[in-house]
Amino acid sequence: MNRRFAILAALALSGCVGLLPPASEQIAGQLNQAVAAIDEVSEAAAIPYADRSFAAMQPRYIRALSSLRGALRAAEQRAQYGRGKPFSRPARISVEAVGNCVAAVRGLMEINRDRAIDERDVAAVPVQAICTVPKLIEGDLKRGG
Amino acid sequence: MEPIVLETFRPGDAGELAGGIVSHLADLLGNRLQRFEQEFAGYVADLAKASMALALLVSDGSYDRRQVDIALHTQELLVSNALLRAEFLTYELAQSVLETIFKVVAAAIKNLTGLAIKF
Repeated sequence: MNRRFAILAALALSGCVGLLPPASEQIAGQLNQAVAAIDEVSEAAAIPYADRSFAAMQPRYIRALSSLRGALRAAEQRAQYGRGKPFSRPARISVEAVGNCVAAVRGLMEINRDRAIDERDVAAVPVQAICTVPKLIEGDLKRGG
Repeated sequence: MEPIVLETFRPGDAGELAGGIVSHLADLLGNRLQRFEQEFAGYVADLAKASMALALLVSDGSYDRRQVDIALHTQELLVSNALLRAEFLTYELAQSVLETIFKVVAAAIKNLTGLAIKF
């Protein structure tokens, strides 16, 4: 009887293994800001006859990219801290997902530099869907997985 | 299988304990899988929409070679992030499974011995 409970207790104590990295208010906040700026780009692109030149859109790209830079830096720090820990891979996943979002924003910006964009460009270059992923990941971490 | 009530769960042997754990896991997995399915259907729909939009832009001559390259690369990024999301969800699910197992085990220990284990 005692031995069985000892085994149960040992099992229970190993339950504190954390497979997920700690949530970061900073990453979550900056990703929210970035996604908000990206949403603005999409909304602005969908307004007919509005000025959708690069000059008009530029502030939104800059806002998105500077928020993303902060999020990326914080995610990298977390991945550094997670090295050798059970959550090292999920911490890396967050870094990679933010990095893909940065690349996607740059891509749309490149196209916008050549031509005024409209909703067709926004559909062909799915920045919103890409950048929602790191935001969802951070939201899950905040809720405790 | 009858869902167990954690407050009164007193397994008589290892089999009953395992049964209690499984009934809780079944709940967890059912809910999660449904959510995953919806989310990934969304990524697939976005990707399909992107391909069609790009095809139109190319066919009416709006995009040159370089812009097509950028758009295609971005669509790859969407696939990449959907895969990263799937990988992340695997870890998240594993964590929930661990927590569920230990929650049931801790309840069993508490009800059988009065010993409260926290983790």
